[in-house]
Amino acid sequence: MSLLHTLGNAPDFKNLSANELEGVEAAMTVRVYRDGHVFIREGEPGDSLFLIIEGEVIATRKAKDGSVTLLARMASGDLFGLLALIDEGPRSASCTAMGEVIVASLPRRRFEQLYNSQAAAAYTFQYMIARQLVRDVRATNEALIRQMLDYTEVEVHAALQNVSVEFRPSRGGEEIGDDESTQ
Amino acid sequence: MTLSPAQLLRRFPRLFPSGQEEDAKTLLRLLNPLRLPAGEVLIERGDLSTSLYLLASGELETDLTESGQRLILGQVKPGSWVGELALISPGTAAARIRTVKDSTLLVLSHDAFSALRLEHPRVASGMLHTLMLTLVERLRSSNARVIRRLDSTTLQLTRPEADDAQGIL
Repeated sequence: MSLLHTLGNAPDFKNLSANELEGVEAAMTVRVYRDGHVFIREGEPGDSLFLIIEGEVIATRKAKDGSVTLLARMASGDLFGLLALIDEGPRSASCTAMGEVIVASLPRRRFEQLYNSQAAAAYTFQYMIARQLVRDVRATNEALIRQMLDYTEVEVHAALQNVSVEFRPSRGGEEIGDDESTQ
Repeated sequence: MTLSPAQLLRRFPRLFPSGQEEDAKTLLRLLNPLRLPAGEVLIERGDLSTSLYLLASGELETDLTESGQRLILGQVKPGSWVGELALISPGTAAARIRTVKDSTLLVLSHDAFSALRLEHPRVASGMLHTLMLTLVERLRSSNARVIRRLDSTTLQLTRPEADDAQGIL
């Protein structure tokens, strides 16, 4: 499966012309990564967005006691690290290759260049990120309100069901061992 | 009160990263003024919300009322705004917004913003960038708070402290 094919199938990109899609494709770097490659490390500042073309990437978070919880399993067409294109804040989860994967990355610098070379594509991409951001803020708001109004923990969790992987709570996830075993 | 493009630019500088008066002129054509006396409800929790409201003068307050309890979430002062979520993608309002002083608002609807994105994408993109930065900031802090509470083994089911109420809208 190619990057162009993966991009073309993503609903957010359906309004882009073939030309613009090629502009986005040109700005991204496609590489094969080995099993265990860490794309994003929790707590470190982020600089790139990633799109999975083939294979599986898992998102995990570490608890204070060193235990690691699985937040999500991601596959072809899934994006992660979206917020790195907006600010340079710390990553809130780690994302690691499970087996060999093909992933396209878009560093912030290349995204900024896209505004000059392929403005329409950059605007569409920006709006796509904005809408995902709104979904995440709404889910988090709802969870916060439920906490404030003393809803049960299950109801708070339910509000965060479809939030971006980086913003999911650990509890309720599957524990996959301690810190050492995933390094 | 009718604002000139120069006044709009001065009152809401962050919405125009280019700093160009021309951009303020473009946006001004799409804004509808709305005057509300003190004590009016602008948006009710649960309502479909579809617009961004720039506060030119006056003051707003956001609150949450449930089972007879009223939590004040925050105040909005002139030069700031509410409704950026609705502008980007219309949806249900998470809290109530009221005027606490006689207020003048400038309303930008989602449809008008869609037109701006088509006809003046650079202006729309500049605005969007600022709105997104404030959303990211809020998302990071409120999400950290939600997760911290969920992940703590001794989950405290108590009434919120004042800082819990920040950043809902």
